[in-house]
This record gives sequence, C-alpha cells and structure tokens, in this order.
Amino acid sequence: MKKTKTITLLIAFAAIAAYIGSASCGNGAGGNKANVAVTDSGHVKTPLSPVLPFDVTLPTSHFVLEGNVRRSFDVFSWDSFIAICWPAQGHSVIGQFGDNPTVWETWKKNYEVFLANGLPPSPWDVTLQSKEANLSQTGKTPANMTFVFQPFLTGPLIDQNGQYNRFEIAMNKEMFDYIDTHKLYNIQGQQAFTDTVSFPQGDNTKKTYGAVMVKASWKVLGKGDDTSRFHKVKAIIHTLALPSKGIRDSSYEAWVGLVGLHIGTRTKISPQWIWSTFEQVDNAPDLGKAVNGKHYNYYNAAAGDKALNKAPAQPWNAGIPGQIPSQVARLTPIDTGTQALNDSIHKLLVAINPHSVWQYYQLIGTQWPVHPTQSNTGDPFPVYMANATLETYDQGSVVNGKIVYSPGVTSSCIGCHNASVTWAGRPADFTYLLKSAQSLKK
Amino acid sequence: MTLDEFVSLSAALTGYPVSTLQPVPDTQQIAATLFAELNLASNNIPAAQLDELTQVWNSISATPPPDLPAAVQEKIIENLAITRLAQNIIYLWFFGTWYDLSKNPNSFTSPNIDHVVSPLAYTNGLVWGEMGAHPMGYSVGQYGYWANVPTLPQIN
Repeated sequence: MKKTKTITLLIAFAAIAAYIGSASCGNGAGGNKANVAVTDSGHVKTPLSPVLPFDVTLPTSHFVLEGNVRRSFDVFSWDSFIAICWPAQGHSVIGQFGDNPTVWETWKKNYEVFLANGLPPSPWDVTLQSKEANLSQTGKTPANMTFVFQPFLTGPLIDQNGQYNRFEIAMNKEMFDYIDTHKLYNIQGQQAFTDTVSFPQGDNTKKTYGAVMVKASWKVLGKGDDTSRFHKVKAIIHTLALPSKGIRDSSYEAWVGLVGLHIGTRTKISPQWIWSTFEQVDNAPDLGKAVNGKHYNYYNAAAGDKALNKAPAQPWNAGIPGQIPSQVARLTPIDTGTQALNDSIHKLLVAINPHSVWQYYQLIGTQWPVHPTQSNTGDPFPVYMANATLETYDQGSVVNGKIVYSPGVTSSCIGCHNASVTWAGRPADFTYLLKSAQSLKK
Repeated sequence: MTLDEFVSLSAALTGYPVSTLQPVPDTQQIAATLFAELNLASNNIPAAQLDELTQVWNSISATPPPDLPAAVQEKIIENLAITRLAQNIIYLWFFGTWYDLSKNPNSFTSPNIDHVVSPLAYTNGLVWGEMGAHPMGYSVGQYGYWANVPTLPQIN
C-alpha cells in the first residue's frame, strides 16, 4: 500500500507542474482534459495533486505585481486548497465521489490544543487515529460548532434562513508541534517562553513544511440551499445561554455546508505568512451586480440595501427567534486573473466528476508580503482583502456610491494579524490562536 | 506632465529616491494616486503653471546628482511662477493632502478644495517616517513598539 501511495504522489507531483505551466498560459482547462482519465484499476488521473506546496514558486522573470507574481501566489493558494481538501482516507482523488472528508478536517482543532484546564494536548498521532475512526461515523461524533462571532466581535453572520454561521480553526502538525514543544498551549507556558515566537517556515530548498492554519466558516443547510453545491459535514450546533432573553444552553445535530475557508501558511519567502481565502460561489453578489432570481446564501434582492454589510443589532445569540438575515455584497470584486485561474481549476474538478462539490468554491484572493523585510507587515498585497463570510463587516464602506477603504479598519490579513500577541505580551507571529490558551489548573 | 516626470520631480523635491516613492512592485499606488491630483479639475491648477513646471523640470532633470539640489533650488524653488505648485507636490507626499494653491497652506482654509487625497495617501505620508512616528490610530509596528525609542531614518 505504501508503494502504491508513493507512485501516486510522484505522478501527481509531475502532473501538477504541467498543470501550473498550462494554467499560466491561460489554457489550463482545455489542455488538461486529456490528462483526466480513469485507469484500468479505477483510479482517476488528474493534474490536481494531494501534495501541499512547501512555499510559493516565484517567477524568474521581471516582477510584475499584477501579472506573474500574483499568479504565482494564487496558484500556491489553489494548490494548498486542493491538497488540504483532498480525501483524508483511501485512494480516491478530490471530489471523485462528489464530496469527501478532507485532510484539514483531521488536523488539530484549536479547542483540542488549548484545553480548558491548560493541560498538554493529546499527541498528534492519537488525534489522527481518533479522527480517522470518526470520519466514517460523522453522524455519531460530529464536530462541535459553538463559535458564531467574527473577528473583533464585529457581529454574527446570519443566513437567509435566520441561522447563525459557525466557525472553527484547525492547524497542521508543524504548527501543532511548535506549540506543543514550546508549551505554548497554556498561559503559564507562554509566560515562561522568553524567545520570540516563530512558527516553522515552509522551504522549497529544504523541502520542509511550514505552519498552516485554517479557519472555516459553515452554514447550517436548510430551506433554499442546494446541498449538492456544498462540502458538508454533520455537526453539533451549540448555542450558548442568554438568560436575559430566556435562552438556555442547547445543542442539536445538523448538516452544515462549508461557505468560507481561510488558509494561512508561513513560508521562507513570506514570513508574514501567505493568506489564501476561498468562498462558496453562492455566498453574495458583487456590489450592485446581483443576478435576478439567483439564490444567495447571504443576500436577498427583495430586502433592499439599507442594511447592506451591517452587523445585526445586539444582543447577539443564535437562539433568539426571528432574526433578520444578513444582507451581504462583496465590495472588492475578485481580480480578473484570479477569476481566470478559478475557471481553469473548476474545469479540472468537473473533469474528475461533474458533480464535484469542489467546483463551487472560488479563490477570493491571496495576500502576501511583497517586501517582507521592509517593515513588520512587509508591504502586504493586495492591501485589503476580505472573505464575505469571515470579514463581512470589515470589507470597507460605501459612501455616496463610492467604496471607501480605511487603513487599520478595512480587512487586511497581515495588517490585522500583525497585532497578535501572546499572554506574555510578546508578538505572536501573526496568529491570535495563542490567546486561546487557558490557565493551567492543577 | 507624465507620471514618470511627476515621480522623478517628486524625488528631487522630497529627497526620497524613486524606489521609495514608486517601489517595484508598487502595492499601494501612492504615486499614481497623488499624480491624479494634478489633473483634478476641482484643484484649479493653472495649465500654464503645470506646463512651466514640467518644462523646467525636464530642462534640469539630467543634471548630475551632486548638482541637482542647487539646480532645483534655482530653477524651481526660487521661481515664483511655479514654486507654489512645487510646494504643493511636497505637501502631497509628506501629508497626503492637497491645499488650495491660491491660499497660504499653513492651515485648511478652503474647505471645498483642501482635502486629504485618500486614507492610504495620508497613512503613507513621508512625514510619519521623518518623525519616527505614525498617524493617529494606525501603525504597522509590532506589538509593544510604543515602548521603544523612535528611530529616525537616515536620508542620503
């Protein structure tokens, strides 16, 4: 089995180089159709690969920001997305059977690392075995989804059925190992850590992986949702008590669909991390460009734009009945080059299976530090970037029909994460995760 | 005036190299944003003044670097016909702000004309680096930077 897996990886590795080359020429999809085929053994051949890139591969030609450099980072983002959404088990390829449990869902969740009692987390291998066992029984041991608020408490996102979005965070082994080795999983450990927090960097030369963290945004699937267009898991939906409104702590089980995914990757070329963000394609229209009759997850043409991209009134609690759905539009359209890459990847996914759920996910953008040694933030580009399901209310504002962006206020991955700090008051290397640590209770 | 002329003139007027004013790649497009101010009708820039500044700059731009500051001083700063416009270009870069050309720029005196060009132009104003400071409410400093003594840039 091990030998088979190695061969599969080698084939995939060689193929993805061809795919990147053809995608760069703008004819990736058409040229790759011939590459997709079912072998005699039933395996699907595709240029898409389960191999996570170590770092971005920059073009050797002149740095043209809007051209080849941006393209390189966007290709890195898609390669990462495909790799971490690859089937967690078995020998199938991504989306071969429509949907699949993913690699990143086997990673450690933040609540599995930063335990309420501050004790050391269980080892990585134990978690993996446990997760693998659970993956076939998702109905019995689903993910527990409690978090409903977006960063900086800017408010919950409410879908067209009045349901709150749910969020979760997971990290890869390299990131987990760093936290575990340095005992950063509790407050006391962070206070005792006198070094500078510096997560592993992916390195193309050394062929080593860096820290990778993902933040996922889920919606409860319900009326109006075409479930064939979502990556789905069964989850426990947990609502916290709000005594002032007579709401008790409660949980129920439901199918949830992935609507947003951030991927943060620390690399040698980008020590301020590479920030990739994806969304389900039905989330929201671009500002002023809603398609008549189309069902959006977070937009209803009949509702008008009076509350566009505005957080709901407080109090915020998922248990309050009759809440008004969020009205969301994307203020910054997806870059045309990024969209072209989206289109070519979608064709590759459709070639594997016309019913692949992964064809309904699109790269919104990739932010990276263009001049990483110039300042702490490294001159991020694009300057602003927002996921409509994760930074809904920080996309900028519309004043007299014009979009206005504000430095330090409008969403910027690097700009925001630069302010992250440990419990010891030290820079946390662009992640707020360490602030999840609890005090050790002996 | 072209964007390239604007950037090279700006380098001579501010003392900052072109690579700082218009880095490659240029993520924030500050130079292009500021340059657009010269073509903004509401800024009321006399066309003759802009043309003369362009011509004067083109006549001295090839001056050897050691002699360039003196040439700029003589041909632009001491030329009353264009010195005010040159001054406004310096203000653009340092404060991200456009001031009414017909008024003394010591304060906002023409609310319909004086304006901050854009939030990015303001936060990227050269004045902040000159002071070793940052605009109110916005900093790219790492957590705890406020405990450190400000460092001032060395301009060659």
